[in-house]
Order: sequence, then structure tokens, then C-alpha cells
Amino acid sequence: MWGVTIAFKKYSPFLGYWGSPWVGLKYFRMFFESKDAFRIIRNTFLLSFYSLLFGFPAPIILALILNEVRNSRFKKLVQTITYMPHFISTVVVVSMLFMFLSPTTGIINRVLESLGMEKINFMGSSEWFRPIYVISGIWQGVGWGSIIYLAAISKVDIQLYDSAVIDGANKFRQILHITIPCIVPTIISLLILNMGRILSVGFEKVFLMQSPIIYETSDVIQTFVYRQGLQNANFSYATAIGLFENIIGLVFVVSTNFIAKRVGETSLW
Amino acid sequence: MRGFVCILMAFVFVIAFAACDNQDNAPAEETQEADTKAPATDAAQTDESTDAEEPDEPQKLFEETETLTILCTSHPSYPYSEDMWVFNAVEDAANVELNMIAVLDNFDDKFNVQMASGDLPDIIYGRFSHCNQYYDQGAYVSLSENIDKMPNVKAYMDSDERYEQYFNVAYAMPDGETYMLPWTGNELILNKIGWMFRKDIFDLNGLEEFSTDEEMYETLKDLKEIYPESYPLSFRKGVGQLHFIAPSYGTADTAYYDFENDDWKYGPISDEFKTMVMFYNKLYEEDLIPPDFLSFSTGTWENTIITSSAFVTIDYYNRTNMFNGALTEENPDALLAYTPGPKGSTLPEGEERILLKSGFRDQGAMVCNTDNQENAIKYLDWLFTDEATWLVSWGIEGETFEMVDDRPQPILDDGETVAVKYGIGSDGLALRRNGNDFGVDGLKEYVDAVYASEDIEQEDYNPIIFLKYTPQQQEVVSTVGTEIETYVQETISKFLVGEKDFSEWDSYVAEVESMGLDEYLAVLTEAYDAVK
Repeated sequence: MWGVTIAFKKYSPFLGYWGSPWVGLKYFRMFFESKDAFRIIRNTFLLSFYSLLFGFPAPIILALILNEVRNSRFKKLVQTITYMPHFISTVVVVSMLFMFLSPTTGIINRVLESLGMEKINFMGSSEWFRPIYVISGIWQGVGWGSIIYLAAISKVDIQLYDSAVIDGANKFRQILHITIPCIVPTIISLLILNMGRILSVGFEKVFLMQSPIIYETSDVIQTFVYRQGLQNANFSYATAIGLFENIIGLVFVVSTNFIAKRVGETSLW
Repeated sequence: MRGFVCILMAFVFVIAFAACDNQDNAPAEETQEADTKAPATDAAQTDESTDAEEPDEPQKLFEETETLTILCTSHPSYPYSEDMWVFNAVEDAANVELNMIAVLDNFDDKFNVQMASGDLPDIIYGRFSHCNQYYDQGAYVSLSENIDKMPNVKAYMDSDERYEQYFNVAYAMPDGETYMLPWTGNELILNKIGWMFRKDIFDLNGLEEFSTDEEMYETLKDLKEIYPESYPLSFRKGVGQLHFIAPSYGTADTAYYDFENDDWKYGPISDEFKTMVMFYNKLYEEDLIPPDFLSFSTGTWENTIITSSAFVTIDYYNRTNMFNGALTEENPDALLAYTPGPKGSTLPEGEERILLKSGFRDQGAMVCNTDNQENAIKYLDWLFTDEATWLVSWGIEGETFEMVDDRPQPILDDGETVAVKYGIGSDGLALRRNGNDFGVDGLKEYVDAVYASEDIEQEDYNPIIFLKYTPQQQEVVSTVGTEIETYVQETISKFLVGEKDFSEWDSYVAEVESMGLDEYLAVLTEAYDAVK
């Protein structure tokens, strides 16, 4: 925790935590006055928001679909295939993106071309960065994420379905009125935890996908901190921004938890 | 149930005891081994020396084996490995154990982490900026204060006036001390940046080498017509490579000192820079550069050359070795060769600013403030002896090279290089080298061309200026400077691919100016005045 103090000091590794002089809120001011501040906060927020918006329901939907599959060999096959990408390292995933999406040799552009469409320079255009990030993120995480929901679904009492069938509920109604309400506590808990990470997108992936031409949408807090802290050794500046990010994260967790408590009686604490 | 628990407990105990046993035994065995080995080797050595009867066999640098931790970069084409011949040879010759922290990528990150963690290496091979960052915090040992402990460095300074100048003037910090031993690999031809072209393809199609940018444009267009699938010009690092192209337009991609007008200027907002970007935008629009060149990694770029989908490139000239090796596997006639390259249209008549020296001119070694500093100083000094210089530049006669016509010729099989085979030329070793003789194998044509064009001495147009920042100045450079640089890279990228129209150039310039450019240039001027 002591490390946090260096956000308020002009930290020098050789003077140490105690020896470095205090500078107060200088680095916070510097950050908010800089031209990039608004853009990188917006980018970080939007990237997380879209990841959450599209990435969060995906494993739930997959779990609901898988739960309805009666052929257990097929179900296992699908499960295995969908959670395979979770084990591929980010570096490899990003190289795959570059390969598949390359405008000269990539398979996607070859397909577009054969359909008579214009080639798209996916990795070099800022409007494509967010979709690529989010979609590849879903591909990476959907199978893995569905495991926890499948476990929650398997805990649902069979008798509920039986009585629903007697009441004349079809498959869709069963999902809507039994399965989903039963896994809502799991969904809420995971949502609250995810909200806490709203400003912390995966540094690695963004950094690897990034090039100056797409800074407009891809420059996020983490990459900024990296440039300032590690490349330029402005440790205090980088810490100040990191601290800001964490405070926002905390606010999000607490408020989501508060809302969840009010609305649905489910909360982390 | 109880029985089961008992068996389980017994099992756990047995394992625990076995583990203890193992732990007790292991070090004992090692020491025993070491004990029995040490005298044996000693004996062997004495035997040998008495047999050979060589009383004046050179004494090793350290009587007992010393360990030195060295932080340095590692070359991507021949990355550091413990087994490299040259490191073992140095360890043997100096009786030292080199604990190399060789960093392949992002050296600055690793360096900053290492410094911030307080776990200092004994020696750092870095750039002048690394000295600048931490000298005032007591990270390094002053070498000028310890110069008496370095007789070989002193002797070398006496023999080479320029080295003495570098050490005592250029590298001296505001407090009057020098913390960095300059590296003399400065003029190394291999580290030069140059234009390269596929000579075989040009010859085949009757195309001529180009010497201006318009000629290059026409040639590239011809190539595109003959090979419609290709993107004839390809380079890596995207917008970063303008660093090497800008001088041929009489500007730079950073702040630079204009000697004619005695003024600091910011290259990327100059008209010359605009002309260059417009030219490359034209190449891009006409599909003469790969559409995704801005997101190229080194690997993607290498692929375009190796698969013959690009014929012209700009990079470190020593890359031709690797490329030609790969190219001739498919086509024995393939040849990627040096060409002086295109001259920018904005360069004044009669001026040549084409071949750039590498940015490695401000490198050197620093000794960190550790308990081991005495040994580190002694070791660095030893590297300046003739013996050590010869060893790290060429190796040992009969083992790595043989003398042909009074010139050392490396012993290599086809397609091998001294760097890959022996590790000669690896970072983190040589400080003083055998000048331009080093590693010219396979590059004779290029060397001749360089000498013929008399580009070898280009100090006058793009000299490195050793700016020394006070902590306050350092902060401006690293915050305002970085912010501007980020913005410039992004915007220039957009101009290059036509995402931004050139009618917006003026607003771009105004934006850069509003970001604190004056403050930044003022710091540079101030720092420059202090060293002028």
C-alpha cells in the first residue's frame, strides 16, 4: 500500500519512498490538463463498456443453449472447442488477428475480395479497433465464461421444470421463467465484479494491437501509463494515473453493489 | 476408516523424510563434486603449463573467479545465449563469470524496472540518455574519478584524441564527472542504415537504380506494372522509419539543431517534412507501399522481402546478410544490394544526406554503485587491452579466424556469420573494437560502395549532441516531449494513409505548437547552451 504514496511525490528510486520530495496533487493536475486525458479515459471506458455489453451476455447465452443440447457427445465437443481459445496466449491471439485480417494476405480480405467487396485495412483503421477487440475477446472468453453458468444451471431443481411442463410451458418459457431467474444471483455477482474492472482493459492485448494510426480509439489508460511509467521513468506520474483508475473502479463496484442490493436483493456484501 | 488414515499418515511421513533426505544430500553431493573437481583441474592446469614450459603465460585478470552482472541489449538476429563462443572465451581469459541480463526487446522498460527495483547490475551497457536519467541520483560510479584505476583506458585515450574528447567533454555530466565509458563502435559500417534494392529483379527488367525521389516513384510504378501483386516498397516500424528518410529531405522526425541558423527546430512541422509525407502518401495511394505498412512488425516486413513481394527497402545494412541467405535458398541469383537511395526534392542542390549512421553513436558502459564496483572497473579496463579487443573482435587465431594476406579471415561455413556462429559482435562486450575491419565478410561490395561515395565521415550534418538535462528539464522532455511525439506520430500516420487531408496541415502545426512546443524547444536550447 505504501507504493501509493509515490503518486503524491516526485519519486526517485534512489531516494526511496521516504526520501523523495512531496509534490501534492501535481501529477493529477498534469494528467487532467493534458490533451490526452479526455481521450484515453473515454477510450478506456468505451472499450470496457462494449466488452461488458457484448462480452458479458455471451457466455450466459452459450450456457443456456448448451444446457438444451441433449446429445451429450456433441455438447462436450462444443464445450471443448469453445473454451480452447482461453488457453491461447494473448500474443498468439493478436498475431492470429494480424494474419487473418491482413489486407494483402489475410483470409478475411480474400473472402471479401472474392465477394466483390473492397479490401479493408482492419488493423490500421481506428473504427475497426473496438469491434475487433470485443469480438476476439468474446471468442477468447465465451467458452471459459460459460462454465460457471453451466454449473449454476445444473443446480436448478428439476422439479421446477416438471411443474412448468404440467402448467404447459414450452422450452422457451422454461428458460425464461425458471433457468434465468435461478441463475440471476450468479449473474449479478459476476456483473459486480466485472464493473470493478470497467477501467482496466487488458493492457497486453491493446498494446499488441496498437499502432500510432489507431491511437484515436486504442490509446487507453494502461498504454498511457506504460509510456509514461516504464518508457519514460515518470514513476510518480504513472502511479497517479493508476491510482485514479483504481478509485474509479472502486466507485463502480460500490455503486453497482448498491444498485443490485436495492433492485434485486443480491449483492456481494 | 481409521486404518486408512493411519496408512495415509504413514505415507505422508515417509514422503516428508524422503524429502528431507534429499535436501540434505543434494548440497553435500555438490560440494563433494566441487571439492574433488577443483584440485583435479588445478593439477591439470599446472601439468599443462609445466609441460608446455611457458613461464610467461598471460596472467588472468582475476585471481579468483569473480561474477559480474551485466545489463545490455541483445541483437534480434543473433540473440545472446550462454553457449556463445565469445562469452566463454572472455570468461576464460579474464577468469570472470558473466551473468548477462540480455534484453531482446524494450530495453528501456527493463532498464527502468531494474533501476526502480534497486537491484542494480554491476555494469550497464546503455545509451547516453540512460546515464542522464539517473546520474544525479547516485546510481553510477564516477569513472573520471576512478580513471587512475583504468590504465588501459588511459593509454587508449592517449592514443586516440577523439576518444579522449568523448570521455572528458561530450560524456561529462553537469557535475563535471563522467559516468559512462564511450563505445567506439561508432563508425561501424555494419550499423549503418541504407537503402537496399533487389539488384537481380532490377537487372532482369532493365530498371536502373534511382537517385531522386521522383526517379524512385517512376521505378516503383514500373515494378508495380510488371508485378501487379507486389507492393514494391516496404519498410518496418511504419511511421518510425521516417526517422531514417527525413534527413534526405533536409529535416528530421524529431527536434534537431539547425547549425546554419543556430537554432533548435522541430522537424515534423517543417515544410520539408510535409513534402516528404506528401510524397509517401502518393506512393501509398498508388499501392506502391503495402496497405498495412503502418502496423507492420519486423516479421511482416521481413516476409515481404523474403517472399519477393517487395523489392526496395530501407534498414540496417547488415540485414542484407540474413535476407540474401533466405532469398538465395529459393533463387540462387537473388541479391539484395546497397544503393545510395533517393534524394529528397527539398534537399538543396549539391548536398548529399542519404546514408545515415546508426543511432548507436551515444552508447557506452556504466558502472553501478554496487559492492562489486572495483571488479567492474577492472573488468571494463581490461576490455581496452589489445588482447581483449582482439578477442571480442576476431576471436582466437586457428579457432575462429586465420590470417590471409595479413588480414584476419573468419573460419566459417557457407551461410554462416561470425555473429551467429561465434557470437562475435554481441552487445555487452566490446567497448573498443578493431574499427571497420570487423565482420566485413560478405559485405565487401557494400563497403567499397561506402568508401567510394565518401559518406563515411558525415559527422558534420547530423552530429549527436550530448544534451545533459537537469531533473526539471528531464521532466519537461519526458512529459511534454512524449506528448507531442505521440500526437505527431498519430497525425503523420493519418496524413500518410490519406485519413487526413493535407489542407489540415496548418491546423496540425498549430496543434503541435499549442501543446508546449516552445517550452520543449526552450529546454533543448537551454541544455544545449550549457554544453556548447
